[in-house]
Amino acid sequence: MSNLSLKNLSKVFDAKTVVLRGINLEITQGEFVVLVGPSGCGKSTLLRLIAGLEQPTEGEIFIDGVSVAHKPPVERDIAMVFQDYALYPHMTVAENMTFGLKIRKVPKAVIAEKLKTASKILGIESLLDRKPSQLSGGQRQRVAIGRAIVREPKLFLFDEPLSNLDAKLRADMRIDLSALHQRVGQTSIYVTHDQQEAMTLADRIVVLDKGEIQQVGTPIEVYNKPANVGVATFIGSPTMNLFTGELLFEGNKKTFRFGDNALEMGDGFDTPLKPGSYKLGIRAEDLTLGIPENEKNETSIRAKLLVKEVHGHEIQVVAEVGGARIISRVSERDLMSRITGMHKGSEIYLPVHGGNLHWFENTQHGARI
Amino acid sequence: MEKAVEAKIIESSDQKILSDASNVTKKSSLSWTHALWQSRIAYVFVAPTVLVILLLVIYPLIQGIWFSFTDMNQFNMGSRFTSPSYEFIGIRNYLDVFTGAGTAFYQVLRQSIIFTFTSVFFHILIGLGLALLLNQKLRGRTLFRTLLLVPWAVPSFVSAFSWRWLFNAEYGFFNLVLKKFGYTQIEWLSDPFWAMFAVIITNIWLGFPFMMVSFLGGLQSIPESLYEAAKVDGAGAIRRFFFITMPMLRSVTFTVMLLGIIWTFNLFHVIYLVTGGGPFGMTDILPTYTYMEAFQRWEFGMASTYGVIILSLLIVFTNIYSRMVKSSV
Repeated sequence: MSNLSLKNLSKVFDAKTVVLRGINLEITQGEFVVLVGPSGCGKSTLLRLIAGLEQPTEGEIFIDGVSVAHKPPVERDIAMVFQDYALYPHMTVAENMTFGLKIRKVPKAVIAEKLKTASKILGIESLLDRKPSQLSGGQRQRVAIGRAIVREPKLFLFDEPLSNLDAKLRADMRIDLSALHQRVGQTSIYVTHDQQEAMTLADRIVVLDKGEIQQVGTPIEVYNKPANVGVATFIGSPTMNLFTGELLFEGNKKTFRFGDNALEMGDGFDTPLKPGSYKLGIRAEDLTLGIPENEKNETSIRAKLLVKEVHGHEIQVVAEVGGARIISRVSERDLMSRITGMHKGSEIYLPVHGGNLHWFENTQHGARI
Repeated sequence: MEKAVEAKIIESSDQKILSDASNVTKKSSLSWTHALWQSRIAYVFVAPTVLVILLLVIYPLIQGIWFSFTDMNQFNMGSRFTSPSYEFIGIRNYLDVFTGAGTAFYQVLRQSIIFTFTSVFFHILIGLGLALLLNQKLRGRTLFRTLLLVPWAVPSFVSAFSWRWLFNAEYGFFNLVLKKFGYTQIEWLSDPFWAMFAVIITNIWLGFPFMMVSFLGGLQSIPESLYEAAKVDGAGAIRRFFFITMPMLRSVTFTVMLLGIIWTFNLFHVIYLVTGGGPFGMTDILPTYTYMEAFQRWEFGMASTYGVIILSLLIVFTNIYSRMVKSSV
């Protein structure tokens, strides 16, 4: 049975601003689902609808089969971790964590036991008597999570909980959150604008844009088969390369023309495409420098080197093709040393392999073909 | 090649150490007169303020304390024709005040306390209540916010006079209303109880907007997410008020309460304009009583004594109060 079920949910602010439209989603018990999308896509509003902090304009929300769309948060048995932590500044860590339990009139001995267990899991036993102002950002984050887990709710909601932490701490907390979820095993819904967080944490990713669900799938599904141009360019770093052009059939030769490039589709290109106008997406790792004698041919993209970004384990080569930028990732050692010797403006050839191409309709929506 | 680089690094770091060392010796050789000279511009800028404070605050304060130890009055204070002949009499003024000899000190002190604490209590109660209302997303909120600032915007002596007329026994609004509905009219300004009632009402009217604005500012600085966290935790509206709003308003409350008490305790014009301290000094508070002492009985020594006592009371009160606040936070 699904733990959370959203049926045709929509939210309109001030009778004119449509924030969410026709959201349908089923989340099963124990799943870690990440809502991801650019800012203003409606992901936070969706989370707040589930929490009961906003009322839906239309549609239904079921938690464990019970309709809760118009019930206050207290009757939904959920816990939420806020972006700014929202710890009560005048209460100690222990008081912060047990406030919800006290309100629910849980016996004192039980509260003490739950507090002990939760603070042990999070490693904050030594902080229980402190006030939030005496804690670091990471510690506050742990207390906020602690406040959620002592309650043992049906649903955990996370609203961009790591966005106020520095990069290193964020990476650590990400691992901790994964470990915590494996341990507690409770259904979690997590909002973020950081696609990397979404990829690493999620069992399933829900990509939102302009108030609508664009795609639902496992991180690998979403990465390998993005449903449209929007998802393709949002998920993955660096951003997927995208070329708009014409696919031409000349006898046996199939050529994709974009700008002043004519890319001949080599082996492995057997997608049943008709000639016409398309958007072609290629991930940076599928676009790497070839062996010198093979690279200068019709199945390569000719580009001018702009910038070399050295990451240590790889080099990201930013080049220019017909006024557009193109990014290629190079991680083989001998190729990396070859690139190091190149200068800005050098002509490079990037071979394309048919199996790694993403074709989209040349429309505003750009659905995957 | 590598060695050369290493040598260069050592050389440059040596130079850095050397230059650091010379800086230290330079600093220690600076005398304080030199330091004074270096920041002369700062002193020039501060000087006018210091001068004004010395002239208008420090000098009168010291003079007032000195007068409180003399028997200065209109006859011995000196004039164009006579030289001053008042004398140092030690703590006799203070003894007279505290033993109640020929003064109404304890009665006036009691009235001061009643006036101050009743006024401030209602200032805070009404101010907080209105701030909570105005903090809601109500229609016409801006209009109400503006209207509620009127008592503050009108010059307070104008308001005080208006209230005096409202309380007038023969033509006043309140008595006309009472008369219309067949009730006995009240001698608002000549009955001791009702006179105190009248000055307190007037002062509440004048004082609540400040509290309202302060509390509104405090309310608006409470992050919305705290309320949302409390909702998710299961707190209803009443719990949210007592567990979020009240504690978060604590520092604002302590500050405005202290200011309110000091201002009200020192308030002169409301009582002077509405009742003049009457009937029979029953609405006098320490500042108005001090004024009478100085400019109706012309006992400047005694008036100064009252001035010093008011100041001392407020200093002691502020100290105890801030210690209480510190220990409770």
